[in-house]
Amino acid sequence: MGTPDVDRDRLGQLLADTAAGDRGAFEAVYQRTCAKLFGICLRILNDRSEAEEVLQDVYLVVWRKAGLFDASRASPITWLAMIARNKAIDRLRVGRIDRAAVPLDFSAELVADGVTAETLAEAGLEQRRLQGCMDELSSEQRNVIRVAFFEGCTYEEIASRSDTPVGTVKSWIRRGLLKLKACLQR
Amino acid sequence: MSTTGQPFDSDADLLAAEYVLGVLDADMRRTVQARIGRDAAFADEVAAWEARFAPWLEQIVPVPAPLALWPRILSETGADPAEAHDGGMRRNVVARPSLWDRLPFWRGLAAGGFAVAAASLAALFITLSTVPQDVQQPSVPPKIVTVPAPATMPMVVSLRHDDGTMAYTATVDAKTGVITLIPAFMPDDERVPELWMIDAGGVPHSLGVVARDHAMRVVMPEQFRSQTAPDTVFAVSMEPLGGSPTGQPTGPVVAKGSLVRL
Repeated sequence: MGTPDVDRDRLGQLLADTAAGDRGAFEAVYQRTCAKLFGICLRILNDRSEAEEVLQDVYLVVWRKAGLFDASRASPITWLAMIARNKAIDRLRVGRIDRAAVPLDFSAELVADGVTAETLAEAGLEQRRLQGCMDELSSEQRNVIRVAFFEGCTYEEIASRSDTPVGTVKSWIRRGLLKLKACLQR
Repeated sequence: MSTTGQPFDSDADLLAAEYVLGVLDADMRRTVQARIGRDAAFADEVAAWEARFAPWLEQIVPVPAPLALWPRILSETGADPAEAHDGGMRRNVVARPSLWDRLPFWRGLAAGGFAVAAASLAALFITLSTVPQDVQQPSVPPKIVTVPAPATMPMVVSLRHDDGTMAYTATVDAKTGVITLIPAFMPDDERVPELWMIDAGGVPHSLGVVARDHAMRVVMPEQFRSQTAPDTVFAVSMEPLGGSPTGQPTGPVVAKGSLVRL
């Protein structure tokens, strides 16, 4: 394991080589990232066979479109992770997975998965910044934004599952996003 | 809800934020995706929001991807999976649940089942030619034939319940990686059976969800074929619909057995 910068540069180079049609580089990209991306697909879809299909699509996109990776815009792992997350959300919209019966309750403080005082202490600067800015939001804004991000719910789904008017949900999210952006730009 | 905050810099900024957060419906997502492709300024807004939320993705726990996936991906890219090397999965095992991690758990397995395995083999060879073809296999019309003894005999494994009754019988061809699995007795259960190969270090690797009511073929990923030898342990656990959500067994192990050469 190298330093994060070295890993990042190496993965960026592997993507460039993949774009040039180098299957060995493509395999190395897969090897380094598939567990991470599978975790993301599973987190969004919560269904193993759907997540497997999406993961396959993700790497076919990577194979065909690695040339679109732009190092000035995103880190390689973020670029890959977002492809996985977006593909998973697109799959969710096809509607084969029905979560309508799983209620959401934003009045209680949601336990943020994976985030404990310990992991946060070890987390990078970026993690702590995002967490710090999330802490400045109201609890409804914070909870609804987290759920939207980790479950990929539409406004309408959040509204019906939390028994909250859509207008209220939109307002929480939009105001929360504004505050978040302002905070992160400070 | 006191402040309205300052407005978004533009509608595009709000749209990018909503897209990245994941709250847009299918139509809007398609619209946004098309715009990302032709509007560089908008694509920058999307990338900026992705960067803002990227730290959250680091919190998501990696899960070992199914071993059968890489050969599938490779063949979709037009490569011949048979020529693929390792497949890149050897170092992917990240999470190991404690029970399955302990080798002694598997040592308790006797290499028994030999007699029954031998008895089942004849039946197995007759059934072989009628087995429904797995996705990776070319479709061949089923026919009943007497199968001549292959040059190299496949190995067999009897997967038994704790009370000794047979759950599955399987032949395993280490050379081609083809596992032919025939259910014997699997009680009704709302969960689904998932087949695992336990490597020499005691770590289970998923071979996928398997049928309980008809024979099927499973193709073992390339890098496990060389590890497949007498005494290799296979097991079946009961998992939620769609298979283990974690990539490791989450439900009870209902049947297990070790490979024998006939």
